[in-house]
Amino acid sequence: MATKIPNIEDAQLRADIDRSLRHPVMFFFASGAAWLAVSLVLGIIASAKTHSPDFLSCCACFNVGRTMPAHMSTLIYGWGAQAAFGVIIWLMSRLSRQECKKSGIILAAGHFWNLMVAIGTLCVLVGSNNFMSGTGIVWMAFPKPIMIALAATYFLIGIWAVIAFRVRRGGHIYISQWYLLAALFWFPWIMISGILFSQIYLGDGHPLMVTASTAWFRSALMFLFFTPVAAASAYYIAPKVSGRPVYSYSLAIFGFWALAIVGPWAGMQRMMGTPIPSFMQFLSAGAAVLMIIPAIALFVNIIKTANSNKDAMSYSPSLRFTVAGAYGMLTFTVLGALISLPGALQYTQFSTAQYGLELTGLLGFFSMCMFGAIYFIVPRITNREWISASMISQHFWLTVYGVTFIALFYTLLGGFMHGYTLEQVGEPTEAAVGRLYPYAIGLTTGFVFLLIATFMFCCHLLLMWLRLGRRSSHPTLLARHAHASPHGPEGDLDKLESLDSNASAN
Amino acid sequence: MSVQPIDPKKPDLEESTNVAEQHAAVTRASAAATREQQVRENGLEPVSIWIFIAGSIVAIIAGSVLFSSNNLFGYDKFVKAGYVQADEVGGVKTVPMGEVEAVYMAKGASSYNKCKGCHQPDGKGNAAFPPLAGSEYVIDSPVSVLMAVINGVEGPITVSGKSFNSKMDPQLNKSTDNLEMAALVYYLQNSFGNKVGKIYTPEQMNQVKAMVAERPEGLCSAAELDKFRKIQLEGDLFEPGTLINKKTGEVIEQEK
Amino acid sequence: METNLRDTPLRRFNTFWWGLALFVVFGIICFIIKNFIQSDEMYSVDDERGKERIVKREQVEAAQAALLDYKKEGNEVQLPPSALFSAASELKILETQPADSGVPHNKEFK
Repeated sequence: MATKIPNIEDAQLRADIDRSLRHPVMFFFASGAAWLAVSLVLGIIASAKTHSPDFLSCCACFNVGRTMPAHMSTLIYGWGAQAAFGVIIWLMSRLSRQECKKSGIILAAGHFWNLMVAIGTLCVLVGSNNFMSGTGIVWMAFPKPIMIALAATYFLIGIWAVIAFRVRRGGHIYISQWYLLAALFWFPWIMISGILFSQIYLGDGHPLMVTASTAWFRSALMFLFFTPVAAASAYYIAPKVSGRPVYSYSLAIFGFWALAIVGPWAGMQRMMGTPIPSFMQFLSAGAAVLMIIPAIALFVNIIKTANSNKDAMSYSPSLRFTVAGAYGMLTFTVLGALISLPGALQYTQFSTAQYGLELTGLLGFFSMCMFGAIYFIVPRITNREWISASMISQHFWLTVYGVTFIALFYTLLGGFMHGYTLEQVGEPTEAAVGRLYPYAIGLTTGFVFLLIATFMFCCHLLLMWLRLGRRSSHPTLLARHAHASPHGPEGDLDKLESLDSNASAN
Repeated sequence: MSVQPIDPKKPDLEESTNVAEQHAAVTRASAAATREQQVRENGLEPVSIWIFIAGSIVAIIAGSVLFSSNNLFGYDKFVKAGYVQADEVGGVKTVPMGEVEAVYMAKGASSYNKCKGCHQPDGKGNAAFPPLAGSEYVIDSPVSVLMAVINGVEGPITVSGKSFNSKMDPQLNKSTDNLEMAALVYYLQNSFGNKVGKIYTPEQMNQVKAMVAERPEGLCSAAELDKFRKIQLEGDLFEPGTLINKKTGEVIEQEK
Repeated sequence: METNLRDTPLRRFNTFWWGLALFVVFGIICFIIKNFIQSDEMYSVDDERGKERIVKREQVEAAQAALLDYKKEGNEVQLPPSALFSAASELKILETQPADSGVPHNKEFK
């Protein structure tokens, strides 16, 4: 059952850890959210060009060929990586019960990371033609020196979390720590392999090697970095906020190992039909289908844990986002499996389904879990509560609408329609793009929803960063208590602890 | 915030530490951390049977996907050289086909594009280059025209009574597609006023290729072309109206 | 708080450098294996076709340059373009002559 009486030493330790990590984590979250907004703006421009080619056709920097890689790169390296880093270092410190003494280095590395992402995005948008030109490789569009600098900067951010784990205070290793440690090692492996085989060996390697490496890179980054970080955050938030233990520990461990075993194989199904050895393509297609199994394990655990305390679900923003992220993971893996079946691949291999799937995973699963973590972590590290519950609620619902639009219209319906039309040998390609018109509008609409939601989130986060949040000991919750003001029950804190368990949520 | 840590050795009766104050100070300063609960993962709920069933279904589907490629190592059976995708009309795959004369004329016309520069679009040539219209080297036999195009021609030559003395480089070679060769012959023999009407099959082009292999390297002379003019190709010609595959040249059997 | 026996400076130092070493070694191994396995001849269709084109282009350029060489036929001399101005100045056919009409916009300009 939930601990009602606060253990002062624990609270003191938690507060110390939070205080030591305040600057880097807050910086990562705030700059990550800003990059998310930037990437959504670029995404709107790119998808608007699909159905209205004259949109912003004045400047060359708004062409699809530039905004699309810039959009994906800022989404991944600007938002995704930074949100992940913030969660990793905070969560690993908390779970290892270690204060972080190297916050300054992490903060400096974070600034450098931002600088690299900014320079890289500018290079892609400007379209330079020298050694600092965008590579055009999907998900690795930044120029080669930038990618190498990013990989090197990661080391300065991630190694401290590994050290924190190694010097942890004794005790049981929690499931989130498994996931975080795995993500900490997988990320540099994926980055080094991807950059080495796609960019550094570009000149003297076989072109098929480059294509296969980039196809694998995309999938591996999604399954082996973003998924474990989101899973770690979900496995922490759900039991923490709901006050119940994780539903089934053995299922959690099984889910982790299933992810570890199946995850690295997926990716090459996008290369179906290319002259790479056929076992690679079919293993990847099989792995993409098998990914449903760890997704089911994660989904069942998180949902059952959260549902065991239904009150918490209705008014905790972090739990709500995390549960939505769990649904997002299931959607993402099921859609991914549907798209990767060899019968369906003939339609989806070159269609918008692939891009829509990546967006569903990044925005519907990973981002939702990260939002949940951010709504949990930021009050703790800034010592302020969120200002407006309605802003949080709007952020949630607009994000859900946006992701639903993208998943439904662009991945599922549009992807298959686009692919089917491309498959008709007699019809020209313009017919396929013409058929895509309503779905592209659906995508733009989804992006607009997401942009509004992100804008609200950014403002909210910025106010918190400036320490303008509510000074209160009551959390900002999404639903009103029947008896009290929105800021929580009035009165002495000690007396309130004997009230209903509502006060212990969040 | 500096709160002195609570020293477990100091009992509550000691005056210098007021535990309640200390607790209250910590609680106020880090309210969020205070109200947190401990994370516990010792959930021992049994894993529902439905999860196993769902997992097994997924594993079966994945296995079928994996083994749907009959051959996991090696892509010779998987990638076909010279594969031409068939048209799909209303969901039924059809083969691009047409009547052989139309196919040959279209294909030959596109091959002739690079010859237009010298031999002119109307095939009448000019002072330097011989005409193809009414040329005995074109009309009398397919072998002479093909050998001229494959090997090239140099030296003095008399065509339709006029003499010419230029050089033509080889335009095709012995590995050119049979269909393209047969189409070019048909086009040249049936355009610009020529009306030979014989429809050679792509297989017959192999005989020409054999002759190319036999002769020594080098451009043909007029005397050699005169010899070739007298050779005809063996084998059956196509009937007019035969349907062939536009891309591979294979005959398509028509159902009666 | 209980003392943390695991937290020693040595352990931190070790972890840092082992972490760095792990991935540097991985990169080096990748590099070695890739260079070891890859065969030396890399056939690129673009390069092969390019070689043919380059040969043809050089032939064309040589032929065109040959047309512009110095030639003399009887009274006519053909000069290469680079030698034109020096020859013209020697022959004094490109010298500027004073204009009759004077400066434009002058009263004398007709």
